[in-house]
Amino acid sequence: MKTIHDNPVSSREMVRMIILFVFGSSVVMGVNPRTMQDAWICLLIAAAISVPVFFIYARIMHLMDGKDFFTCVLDWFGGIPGRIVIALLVWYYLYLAAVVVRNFSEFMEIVAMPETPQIPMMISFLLVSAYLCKSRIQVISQWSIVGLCITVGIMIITVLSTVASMRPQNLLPILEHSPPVMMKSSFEIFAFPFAECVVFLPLISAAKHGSPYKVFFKGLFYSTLVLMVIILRNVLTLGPQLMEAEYFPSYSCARIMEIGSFLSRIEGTISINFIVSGLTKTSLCLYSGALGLAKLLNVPNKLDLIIMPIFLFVLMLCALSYTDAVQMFNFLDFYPFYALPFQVIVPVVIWLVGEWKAHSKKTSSVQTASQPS
Amino acid sequence: MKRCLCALLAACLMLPLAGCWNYRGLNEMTIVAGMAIDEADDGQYLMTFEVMDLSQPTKTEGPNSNLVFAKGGSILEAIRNAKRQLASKLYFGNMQIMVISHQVAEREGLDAVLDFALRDSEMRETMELVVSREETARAILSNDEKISGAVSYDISRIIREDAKVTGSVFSAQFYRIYDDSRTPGINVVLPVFYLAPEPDSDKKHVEAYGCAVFKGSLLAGFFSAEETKYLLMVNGLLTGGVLTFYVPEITKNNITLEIKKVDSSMSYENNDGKIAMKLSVKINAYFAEFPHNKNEGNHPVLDQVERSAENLVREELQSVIKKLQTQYQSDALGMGRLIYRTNLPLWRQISGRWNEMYQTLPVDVTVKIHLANTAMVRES
Amino acid sequence: MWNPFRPKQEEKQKRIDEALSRSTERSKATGQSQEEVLSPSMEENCRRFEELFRDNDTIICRKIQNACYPWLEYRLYYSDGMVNTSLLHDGVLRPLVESNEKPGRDLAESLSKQILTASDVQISEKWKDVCDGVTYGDAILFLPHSSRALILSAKNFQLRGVDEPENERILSGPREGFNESLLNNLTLIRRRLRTHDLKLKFRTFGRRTQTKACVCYLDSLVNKNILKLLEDRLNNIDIDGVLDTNYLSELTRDSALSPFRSTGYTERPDVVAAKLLEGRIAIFLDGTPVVLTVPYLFIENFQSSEDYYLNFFYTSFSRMLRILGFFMTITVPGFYIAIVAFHHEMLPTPLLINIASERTGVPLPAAAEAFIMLIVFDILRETGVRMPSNVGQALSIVGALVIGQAAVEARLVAAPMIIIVGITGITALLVPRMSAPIIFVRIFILIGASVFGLFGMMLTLCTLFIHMLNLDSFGVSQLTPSGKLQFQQIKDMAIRAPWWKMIQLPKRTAWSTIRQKTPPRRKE
Repeated sequence: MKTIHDNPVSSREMVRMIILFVFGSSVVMGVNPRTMQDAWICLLIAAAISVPVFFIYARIMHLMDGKDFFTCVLDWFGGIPGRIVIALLVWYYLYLAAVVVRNFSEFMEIVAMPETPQIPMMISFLLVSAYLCKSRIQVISQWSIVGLCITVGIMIITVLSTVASMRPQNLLPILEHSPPVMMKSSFEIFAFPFAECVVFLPLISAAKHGSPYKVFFKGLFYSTLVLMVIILRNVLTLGPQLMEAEYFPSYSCARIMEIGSFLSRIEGTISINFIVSGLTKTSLCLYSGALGLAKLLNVPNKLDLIIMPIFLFVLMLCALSYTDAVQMFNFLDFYPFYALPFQVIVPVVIWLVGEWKAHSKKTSSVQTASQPS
Repeated sequence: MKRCLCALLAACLMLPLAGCWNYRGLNEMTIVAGMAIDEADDGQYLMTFEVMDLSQPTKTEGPNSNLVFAKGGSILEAIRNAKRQLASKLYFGNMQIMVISHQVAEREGLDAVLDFALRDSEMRETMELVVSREETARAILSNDEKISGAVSYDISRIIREDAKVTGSVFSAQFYRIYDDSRTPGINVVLPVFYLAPEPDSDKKHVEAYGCAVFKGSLLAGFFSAEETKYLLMVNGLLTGGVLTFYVPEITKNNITLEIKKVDSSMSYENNDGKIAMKLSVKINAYFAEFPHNKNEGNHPVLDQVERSAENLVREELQSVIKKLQTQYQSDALGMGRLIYRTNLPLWRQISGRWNEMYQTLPVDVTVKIHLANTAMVRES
Repeated sequence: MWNPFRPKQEEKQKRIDEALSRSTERSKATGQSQEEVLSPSMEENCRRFEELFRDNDTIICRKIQNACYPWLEYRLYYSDGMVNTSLLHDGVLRPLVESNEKPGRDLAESLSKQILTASDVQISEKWKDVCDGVTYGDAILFLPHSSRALILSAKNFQLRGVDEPENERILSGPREGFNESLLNNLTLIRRRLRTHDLKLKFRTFGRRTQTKACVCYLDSLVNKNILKLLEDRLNNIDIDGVLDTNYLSELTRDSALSPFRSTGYTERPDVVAAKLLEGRIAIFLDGTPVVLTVPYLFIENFQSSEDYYLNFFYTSFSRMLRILGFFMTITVPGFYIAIVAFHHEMLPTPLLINIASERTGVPLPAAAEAFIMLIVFDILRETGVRMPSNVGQALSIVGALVIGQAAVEARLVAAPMIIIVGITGITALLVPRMSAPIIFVRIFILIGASVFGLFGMMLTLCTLFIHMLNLDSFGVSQLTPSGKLQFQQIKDMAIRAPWWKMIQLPKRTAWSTIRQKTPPRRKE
């Protein structure tokens, strides 16, 4: 059986996966529109907040020096505390996968297919992402190359098609909202989607060459760029009021899109965007969760065995996590606080323990070196 | 045992294939081209749907449309009640316009219509909302002469191509209306249609009347097609149209200029709480029609024409803006929105008083017209 | 791969071993075992031979005596119709009868070296070689008082001529095609690759058929890992008969259940020579003109040898057209159903009204109609292939036009469906190599589109793409041979770059990567 370390993934592909991942749910749910026309400023602030957090993630990877993430955690923390840390992370990853799939199925239900029960949609979506997950990280990286080209291409097409209905004055007035509101919105954008890159902690070790710093920061930069384009397109086309009022502003933008005078109402083809980015995000979450769970259950090389049970578990989580769509949208307000322990606190703890271990190893090696023969 | 469990799991996972719940064949739907909202006598909504008639062969005769009437306490209820008389459910994916009568606009306003159109996923945000000048909205839809097979499609094409050709209506798609109705400092303007009589016969046809200005969400008043042209010039919405005027010194016939490009800018001056608006309009025009007798002299006329046109446009603009301010009291041109967008603290100060301030706001209009060419006949 | 439907390994292995031992016992009884050797007595050998080939009336026995030494009696056995009798006259019988040299101590050696003038003489002691030889067109000479027999090659059987294969016609270029003789096919390759580097290794497959096969490659270019993997897999084949290279292809597959191939096939020698020059390996099989090439990349489905003999603009365009055709033929029925049944707003209104009025009165829902029409189209196509040609033409025209038209008039089928099925069928003809996977994939996408509309269609397309990313051909990933997408591959994949641009060989399939040292001088 191949392990994740068999064929190296290049750092460029890792960056692409990060971009597609961050793009994931934002394609459907939009970036937090609470601050209407100032949303792009909140995005920049959120990116600035993410920089130190990404620095911590990259430093953790640097300290682990290419070894498998979960193995290192177990080494550093010992038996029981290490397993607790891994269990927390695994729970976060799997629950995130369930939330993403639930978002998508609610989206499809509200927008396109009201009469379809959600369970079949969830099953088919999760099945495909479980298949992608089972094909290992190399296939996911190849898939993300093509996926990113398709997604960015379609995004450019939508921008070009809605240029005719864009009004630059929609961006005024700037900074209408007070700083507390802006900070709250930035914090929400930071938690979803930026800091969800904690999912990449177990996966970066697959990229053999290239430093983790470059990978994370390049990913942050490009994904901020992409999200900025999305926000600007939404605000300029729809206007700030409609963008804030609607659940799915990107989709509404696509509905207004017109190419020439004959090709309009083609928002169905935008569904490829949703599916590609949603599949990538779900399968990356499933993959990290599977890796962690395999480590917990001590079957590290037989990933294929546990993909199916994980799929069933996440399916159950999907169905159970919310009772209705309103609850799901309200959860978004609460999500930053729920995610804070997993996105920030646990990595900070791992980082501190890692620094301490590295420091103590250095001092002990200095001691042994200085001992006379 | 393992095999049985696997077979059971596989069967359960094939649940997605068990049905196509949203499958809707084309023969199960009634395609709606346009909708008209009226008030019935008992206070309920009376809706008229213009549906495409699919029973006739379209190869030989082209498509045709019928009318379907339904009543209900709210818009959605009336739509569902229509199923009591139809074999197939109504389908709104290709609907282009929605017509409301001016009673509905005056008494109830736009809120119900806006909310329903944006909330429902089947209705498009790019639909046009039209006000009917007739007694009822359904009078607009019940007309015999159709070119594209349905009156609604004709009306939507008239509105779409209007800004380039005549400049007689505003185009108001739903998502724009929503934005304008919620943004402070601007009011909604909708296109208006009426049934125009034809000379020497009883037939009437649907024609664009002008525009309807709203105050808040209630109808304030109407502007005719000629007045609408000047309103369109203000925010740069006009991209075509003609200017016809009379300069007796040059010729006794009317001179016509064809508008090619309109650049307009709006600015304001703030003198201690006293706001004064400045409007400047620059028009690029072609000399389109100059019926004159060559014997009347061959002196240069272009400068004179330009100046006469500028005077005309300025006077008309000022009278239209005056009417807006005093008679209708509605800030349809977005002057308040300009202050809101460029100077937020000032807006916060005056927004409470803006309605009163607007009625007596001094507006200074400057117009500049430039004749780019004189078409194919030489003129100087 | 985790396969839950696999029965317990040990039971299955036990069953296979039992069956094998039964068949070896039976074949031992018939003397086809590998190890038996001839006996020193000629009568014993002849008696054994005639017992083995007992009811075989084509075997002819010729008894000869040397004129000078009457005690030198020989028996010649050959299969009638398979030997070149004039060769036997001049090269074998005449020297045996007329030679007056005293035979040396080792009769077989002296005969083969000094007396017989046939071009190919082998000496063997094993019954296996004797049986193989006589069944392939060789003549067997049994010698007195010797446990060795001489196997004389005198093959002459009827073969089809070397003409252009029907399925791979091109506009301009060589028109030779393989035929059923292994040696002829190898000759065609030899003439094109006149280098000592070309290695041709024989092997046999099939316990009862003993079919000869040849593995062919250029030694300095081939990837030794792939060669080793191929040889391991070929060694693992244990089957009673191999009649066509497709048997080998399916027995050495990477992924058992995928509809896509993992080995290429062709009937043209220029195609095989070009692939050998890229470092691939070719497998020839006696008795079939179809040659396998290994490893097989996905893009080869869309390549044809004509691409290299014609102008590069035209062939780049043709290649992109083929890829587009593949994409269209699998997605068009699904896309039509998704739009017409789920996403009606995507149709421009006049088209929607037209299609809706065409569909009134038609009994079946659109998805069922699409399914049935696709099957009907496949039926017509299949009968067109198998029909004798004089009837086939009329039937295909009748089938396509008249039946389709009549079905529309009778309101059984809506008119747009005929157009959709026509487009699907015609674009499928652009890529004949993929006709097998296309049928399966198309139905899969149609089902996805019928259940969830465009979302379902996109989901199934993504599944298909993930599956294609997972495909391997002998260790080389089919879609991304060097692990990542590079411009180097695009040069020969989606377009056909002109010859003066192709300096490097495709990386994964060859060791040495330089095809030409310097590009030829271009005219200024």
